Amino acid sequence: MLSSSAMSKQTLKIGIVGAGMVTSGSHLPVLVNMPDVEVAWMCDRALPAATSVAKTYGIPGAFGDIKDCPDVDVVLVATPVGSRSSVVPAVLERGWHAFCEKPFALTLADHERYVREAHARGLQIGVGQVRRYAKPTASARALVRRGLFGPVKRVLAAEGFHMRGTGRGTGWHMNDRSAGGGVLAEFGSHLIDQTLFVLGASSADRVRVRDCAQRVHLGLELASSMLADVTMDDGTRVPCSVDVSLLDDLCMGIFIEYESVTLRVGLGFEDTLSLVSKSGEPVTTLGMPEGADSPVQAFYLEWKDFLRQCRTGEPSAIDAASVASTTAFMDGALTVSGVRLQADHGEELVEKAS
Amino acid sequence: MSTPKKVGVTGATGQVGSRLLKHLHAAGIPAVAVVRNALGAALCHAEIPECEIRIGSLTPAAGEPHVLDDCDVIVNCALEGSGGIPRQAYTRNRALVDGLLKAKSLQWLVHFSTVAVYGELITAAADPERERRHPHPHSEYGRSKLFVERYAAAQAQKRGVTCTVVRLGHVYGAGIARSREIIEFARDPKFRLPFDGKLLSNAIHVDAVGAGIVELLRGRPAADVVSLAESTHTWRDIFDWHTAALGLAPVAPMDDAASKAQRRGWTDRSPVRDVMNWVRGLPIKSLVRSPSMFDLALQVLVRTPESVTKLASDINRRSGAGAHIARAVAADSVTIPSLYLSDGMPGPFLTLPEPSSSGMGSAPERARELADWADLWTTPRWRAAAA
Repeated sequence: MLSSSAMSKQTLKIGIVGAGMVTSGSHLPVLVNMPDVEVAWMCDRALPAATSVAKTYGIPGAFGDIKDCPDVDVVLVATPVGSRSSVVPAVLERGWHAFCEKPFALTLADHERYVREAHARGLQIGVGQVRRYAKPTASARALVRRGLFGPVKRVLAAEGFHMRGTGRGTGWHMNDRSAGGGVLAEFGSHLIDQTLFVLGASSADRVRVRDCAQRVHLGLELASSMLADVTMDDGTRVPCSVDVSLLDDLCMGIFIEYESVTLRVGLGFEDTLSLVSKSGEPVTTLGMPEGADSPVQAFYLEWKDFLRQCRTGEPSAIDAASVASTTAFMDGALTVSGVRLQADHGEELVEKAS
Repeated sequence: MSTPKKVGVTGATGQVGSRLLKHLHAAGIPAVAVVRNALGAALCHAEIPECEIRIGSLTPAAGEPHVLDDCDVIVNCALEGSGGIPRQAYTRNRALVDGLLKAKSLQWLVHFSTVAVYGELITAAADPERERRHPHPHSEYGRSKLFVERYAAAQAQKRGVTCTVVRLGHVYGAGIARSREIIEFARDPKFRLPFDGKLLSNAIHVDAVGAGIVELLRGRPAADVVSLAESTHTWRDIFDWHTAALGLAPVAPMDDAASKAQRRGWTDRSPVRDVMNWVRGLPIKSLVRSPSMFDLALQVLVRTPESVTKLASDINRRSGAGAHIARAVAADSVTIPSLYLSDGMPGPFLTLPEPSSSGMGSAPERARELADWADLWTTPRWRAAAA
């Protein structure tokens, strides 16, 4: 492993574990265009997939096992969350910084273990919570911190649409246990993180989940509705309702209610930051000086931030420790709902007896 | 065939397929929903728990059993996308039809096509029957759908299966994207309904689709091409139904002159005009403002006679003001999709039974469902997904 000072002066070598869509469609187009970065290899259990992606992007190495991969500085872990317990320790053991796709971990215990292991080895570990860089989210965080509208009364966050088709794929991210399974891990890991990021609640002790109701059909969790108390960075405790669904078209956004006004934070990159009435009617749109207005920009910014973290040791906006509240929220939701997927240990889905 | 023994429905998680399955169940017609994977099955089960769901491929390899082998009727509501590669809209849909026709017991294929085969903007045909037989789509989507419906009819005939092609109009109702668009227009104070909504809409409520297909299946199979829409309903009827259900004011009319101008925007489109618009939109000012170009422009201008630079300055002032005004006009208007400017599509239309007075598909139920659905996606709610 190179020292921070040595790393700051030279091109960083990057390895990638996982040759799926997020790698080929989102990370690689950015990485191959970044200065001072060299993607050295692709690794995937399915070697043909690794080889194919490597060929597309002109990456010199393709491997089927992480043990065979030559040394690099940073590794992108873009495998399903259920495989992290074997991949992340293997990456850290080799002395490589780790940048993991979301969701980072399904339990707070796993989350804290990965962070502890990284810190014990003097390594950096980050999470691809890319929506933190979306203009509405980044700008709302700055606005909420300034406290211009007075104390926050409550927060309603929702992301949901009636899914009408599954495409030609297998829907693996929903029904493969190793992917975490369900809409909570798939969408919730974004929405919960955006909500907590805007409110400035980063550590696990800032979150207490009070209730979680889930709609499970044929063993798949298609909707989750959660209630939690979140402590903001100024110490204010705020009740939050967080909903994710593939069954209903919901009123999407993070609605931060103040005494006399509600701030709506759009979830996407091209969405808006606006003031709305209590019934959700837009009143005015606000300027958004912070963040990215496209996913490509956001992936670039998160890589730039994380590589700077690797070079300097200074935590970035997507440092894994700052995502602990998100994992705590999801962990808490699964605990109170009684529906839990034990992907790592291959246990069956257990539904709470009604 | 009086009543089908078993009806297979493809596209079972879709807007039309899922509702059709409810109507088949309500009518006591045994039906099977086919989905691709466990996620599709879960989505289908959430919507229609009473329905038989099968996971499988609709394009089985030679020798493999077909997931719908025991169905004597298949209603093909599946929409195979192009996956971003236009050619695949043809190849995938052709493969889908080939696959469906492999089902052993199949006698009747009801194949959903679309009003889009008549073009993005439909103009009343002098000879509707000729137009029905030889439509002229001018979008790639319409062309691919026309190709597939003709392919389905030809292949079905070869196999001795009756194929009824149903050209479906614009579906509306709770949970349907078209209704969301209409509601958003109705809530937009800038929106004006072209021709005061006097044009035939080619629209149909999703429950009327379900009821119409049930009625079709109760009759005799016929190899034909039919239209499925509420054939006498105008856009005013459709918009007024939405606004009344939601307690909104009726949408304001667009006068005939503005409506005709909107229509010309569609009929007069051409690649040349698009290129000209693109050239007009080029950021010339940004180019001139770049340091090197700015300096070059200044070098040229100091050597240019004053009469010429004054003329250029006057033209620039006039055209610049024109561009600013055009932007202001554009910002103050709503782009109207072509379907709201179209004439009615040719018949014959499938017979639509009268809605029942209560329960699924009844007038009060349709309105209640629309209002509940619209409230869910327009108003932030505490615990929205728990319902």
